[in-house]
Amino acid sequence: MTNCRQLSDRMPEVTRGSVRWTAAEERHLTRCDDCQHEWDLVRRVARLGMDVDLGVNPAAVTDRVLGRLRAADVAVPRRRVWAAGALAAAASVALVLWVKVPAGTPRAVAVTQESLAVTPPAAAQPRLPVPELDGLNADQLRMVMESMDQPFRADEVLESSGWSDLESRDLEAGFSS
Amino acid sequence: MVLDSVTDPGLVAAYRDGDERAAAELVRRHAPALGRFLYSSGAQPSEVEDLIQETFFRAFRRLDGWRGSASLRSWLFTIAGNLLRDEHRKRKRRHVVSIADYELAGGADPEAELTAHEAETRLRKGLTSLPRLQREVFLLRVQGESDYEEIAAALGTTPGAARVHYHHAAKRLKELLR
Repeated sequence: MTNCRQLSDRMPEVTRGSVRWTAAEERHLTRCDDCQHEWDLVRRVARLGMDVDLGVNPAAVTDRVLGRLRAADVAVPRRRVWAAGALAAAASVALVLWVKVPAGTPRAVAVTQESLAVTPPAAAQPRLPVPELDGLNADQLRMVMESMDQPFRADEVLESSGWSDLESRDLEAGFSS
Repeated sequence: MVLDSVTDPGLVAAYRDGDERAAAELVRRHAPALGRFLYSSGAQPSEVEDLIQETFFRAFRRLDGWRGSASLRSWLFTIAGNLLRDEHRKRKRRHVVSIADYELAGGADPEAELTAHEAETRLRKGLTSLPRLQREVFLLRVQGESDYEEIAAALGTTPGAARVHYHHAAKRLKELLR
């Protein structure tokens, strides 16, 4: 038996032509106003921007990107040469001072773990804040999905300008149902 | 080598080996979809090309950050989404942002074009009013041709959660555009 959610899950693939509706799905689609509305929406979003001249020239973009990458690659070794020079100079000064220190004076400087600590490298890829849904198991996600069958209140939709605020409310509604 | 038949991972490997033609092919392959994603997410047409350029620049500089479990396209969409968010934050500090009308090309049926333009503007406003994660999941699915596993890998979430976000987005858009 075909239901709205199954149809909804397959809409993007049908839109791009990689799969086709089954006979049962087509029957459902002709009878269900909500699915027809969503089907129209998905097709419109799939085409969004196709008729607008966004002025994107891939060849020009490539040239500029590669040019910037080459410039960035050149800049890094220069910084490294400068840093190596500075390190060598510092080492020379340290060696001279070490030689001139009178006998009997402790020469070793305690190197603590803290002084060796380095800032961990930033994550290679910026990540989105972890949404509340990530920690839910399949049953809990199904409950959330089912709670979505309740109609949204207009004021909820209009208020939800922030990030996951409505999702939190939906989750709470799902758990309390 | 005919590059247009090479997979994205193959092109990435070729670029890492120094073949700049592979980079050109990756841009040719993904720039149009990236442009539509940015436009659908609220970018102005005039800023789309710069954002695409910055997206590829960052992507090529840290290809090590691309996990093969996400498609390259969904990874690029994620970078572009981050850039757009930063751009909007910067602009918000300067002035109020709105989805501006772009100039309509003179066509045979101005009335029909105006209607289509208004419908498109409503659709974009609906998309930009969604929470970011819902919008990105929805666009990755509909425009980025990604499945829930790829989307989950790109956005650092689970496939089940990505599916819930998709259905939230669809439901909200239907309510907003009814």
